[in-house]
Amino acid sequence: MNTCNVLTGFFLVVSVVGQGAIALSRAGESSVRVLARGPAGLRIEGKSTEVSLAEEASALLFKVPLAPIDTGIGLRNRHLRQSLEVDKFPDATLRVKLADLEFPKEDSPVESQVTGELMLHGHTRPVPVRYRAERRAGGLTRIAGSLQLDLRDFEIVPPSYLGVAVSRDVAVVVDLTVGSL
Amino acid sequence: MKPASAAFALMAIFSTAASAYPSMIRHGYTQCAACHTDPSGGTLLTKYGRAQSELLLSSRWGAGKEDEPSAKDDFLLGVLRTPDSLSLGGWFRYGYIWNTVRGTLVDDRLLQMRGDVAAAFRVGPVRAAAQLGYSSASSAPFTELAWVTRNANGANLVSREHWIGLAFADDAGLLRGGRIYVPFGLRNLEHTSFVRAATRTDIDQDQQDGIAVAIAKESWRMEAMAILGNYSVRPDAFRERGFSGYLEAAPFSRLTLGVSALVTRADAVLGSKGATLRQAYGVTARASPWTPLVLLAEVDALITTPLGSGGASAGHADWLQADVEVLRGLHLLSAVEGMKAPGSDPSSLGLWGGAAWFVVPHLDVRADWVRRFTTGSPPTTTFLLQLNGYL
Repeated sequence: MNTCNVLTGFFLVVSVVGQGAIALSRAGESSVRVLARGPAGLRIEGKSTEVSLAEEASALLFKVPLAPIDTGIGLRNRHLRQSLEVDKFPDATLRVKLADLEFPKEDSPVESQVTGELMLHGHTRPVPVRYRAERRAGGLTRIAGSLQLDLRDFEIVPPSYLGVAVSRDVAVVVDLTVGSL
Repeated sequence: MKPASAAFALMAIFSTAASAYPSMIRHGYTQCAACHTDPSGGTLLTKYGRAQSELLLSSRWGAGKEDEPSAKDDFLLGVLRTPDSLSLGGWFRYGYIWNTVRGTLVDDRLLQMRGDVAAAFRVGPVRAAAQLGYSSASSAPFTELAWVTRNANGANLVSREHWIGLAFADDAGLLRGGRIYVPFGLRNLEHTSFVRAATRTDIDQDQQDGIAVAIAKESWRMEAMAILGNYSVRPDAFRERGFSGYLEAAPFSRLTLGVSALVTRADAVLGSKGATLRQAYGVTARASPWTPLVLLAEVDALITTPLGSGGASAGHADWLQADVEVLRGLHLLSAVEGMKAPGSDPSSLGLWGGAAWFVVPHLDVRADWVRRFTTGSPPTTTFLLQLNGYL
């Protein structure tokens, strides 16, 4: 194997390890990822670290402010905010009944699916939510959940720009660590 | 190698450059088809691609992050408006090159590198694109595989691509036929790098006539082409026929890993009287572990087999490039490359360094320094300044 091959292998390993290290370093942070798709394999990913959880009398309420979601391109962020009418509807919320949830125990994480009520763009619709919850040291609980939504259900016109239109199906992935539930 | 032949070889390092930016992976773009009319990238820009050129590639000179791109991004600075079904564009590129061998300047000259116009249209599922350009007499050795006219001692018309096809699966797929960029490896801008030259996939002139199918999905893309021959090449015995293709997966939004294969047969090749089977198998990677940094790598195994007269001979070509965007629009570029051609003893090593500045949308300047070492030959050094514009 010549020098070039060694260097190529080295940089590939560095890259892959780097990606893994970045992912690991973010473990424990709260994050929201919004995945939209366009034509010809176009993938648009919006990210935010602003997600909160509040406990109500009979439900858990997840809240995501929409304005901070960053898609990596400033103009695209503006188009996203316009599409969601963030000035009028600044937050998305997901309400899940406590009675429908399974809670993790020490050394016993839970994975399940539940139906929650998603409020977005001024409309509330039931959506299936997959989640995984596990206890962490220090009395913390890590919750990872995902859901799929159809923009039409919330009367959101799929953004379209210069001939590239976003698909109506959008995935949302939430990861947050909270105090004891 | 004599200085004169070294100078000729050095000129081949830089002829016409195209516009291909696999480094756009730093912005999460693992696919090409949203910005280019060719699903594997490197050609005419779509309207969306024109906008990304301003939003992501060039210096913005005080424009706000959320500002709309200027209307001057359109064809001919927006003077000529085109319907959504039609995309027009063009390239002009000039350069000045200095070549030295053993520290002695053996060649310096102004290069007319590219002057092409291109059009693409889409009506329903029908897609078509074509380029037509001017090639000066001085660039003839480096464009003749794409000639339309046959003026051996003067200027020529060139057409690097012309094809028509049908889109399917909501534009995720494209089946087309015509003269097409060969789907293999990284479609990198440095089209005379060893990996492009050794595999004959130089995006300047190594296109082939054939039928290709491309599919681009969220986490993978592929293109496979039945090569029917380069019909700019005469006589027919020199036309290569066979297959080429790649498959690239994107396990992360900023990491892709790919494999490529090319198998062609020609009845005759330069330097050989008989039929020859040529094979190339490659692996590629694109990664952006940190937004300003993009790493591009390609390693190709090369096999040439004279049919009916002797065994196969093997070689390799390698490319590893780092692209660091130090300021918005300003890139520092470095690369190391290696090559051993099948059937030849000398091996070569190349080192690249340089900078590219996307001054305003669709206009960039680039400076390159390339030093190449080949066993048994003196080292060569090339300096090149380029001005590149897109209409």
